[in-house]
Amino acid sequence: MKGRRAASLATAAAALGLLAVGLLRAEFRETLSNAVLICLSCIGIG
Amino acid sequence: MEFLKRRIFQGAGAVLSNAYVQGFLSASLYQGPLKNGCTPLLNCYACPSAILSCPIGTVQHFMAARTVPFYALGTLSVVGASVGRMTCGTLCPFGALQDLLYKLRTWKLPVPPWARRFRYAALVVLVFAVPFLTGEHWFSKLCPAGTLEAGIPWATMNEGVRDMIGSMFWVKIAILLSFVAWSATAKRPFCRAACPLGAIFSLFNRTSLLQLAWDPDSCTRCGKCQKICPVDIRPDRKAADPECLRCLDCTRCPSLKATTVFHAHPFAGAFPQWDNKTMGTES
Repeated sequence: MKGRRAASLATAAAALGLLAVGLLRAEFRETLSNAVLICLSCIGIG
Repeated sequence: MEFLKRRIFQGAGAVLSNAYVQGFLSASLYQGPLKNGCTPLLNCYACPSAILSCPIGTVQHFMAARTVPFYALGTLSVVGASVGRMTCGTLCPFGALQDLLYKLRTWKLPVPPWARRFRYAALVVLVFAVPFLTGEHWFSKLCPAGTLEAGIPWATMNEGVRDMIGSMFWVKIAILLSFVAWSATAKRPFCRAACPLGAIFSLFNRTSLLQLAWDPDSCTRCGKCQKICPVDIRPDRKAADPECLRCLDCTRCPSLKATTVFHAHPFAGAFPQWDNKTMGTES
């Protein structure tokens, strides 16, 4: 049980680290432009 | 009651992630600040009413640009590390559609266990490898959720889009219809055999903070948990199954309980009785 708890906390810490890097790189700004660009792929004509 | 609660959450997930109703009225896409956020659901961001970005589309975008998608993968990892696949089971609108289709009175077939490998293949090949190599978002080009939420509405609303329709659009329609037909005969076939978002979340089921606990002392191995499970698993045999959607329908049985990794003995001091009525399997 302790092993699973440690694994869970390590996974959560790694996930937060990954998100923090993405936020520091301001990658979220690209999701907006992407939403407009990818539209044709989603529709099946891009 | 648990089942009804899940339906309410699924409805809320569909409505809240598609709150820009004006998109359908004015045939436009929402491009406000909320679109900077990734939704932990398979909800197409080309849907006229979508207010959040699709994480799978975002990952493909970064892979096509040959950049590591830290933000999208980080968002999904935080959700997965917290609750595992719970958003698939309780919020995803495409999952809710499959749940409803399965209620149709047709013959029912199981999804073979090996089918789950295809969702990992879809993740690795169509979401990571092919966009990286070709620069094109091939999962989005085939995604049935995108066809339903964006392709059909845009082709209906916009004449310019209608004029651009080619063979790929009809391939998408055929894929959507295949999954609609399959969903009427099998439990959540898209989630189990094709969804790359489910593939990402299922990697976290074993280590997520939220866990499903099983009590071997009160369990009679009757198998009713499998009967009510939306993905046909036996949580009494493997509570941390990667297939488990964490919908918590099976917690109607007192032998199964939602808990966290911080609880060493989630069933300590509690051995309630159960019957057909509490399980919702009374005929």
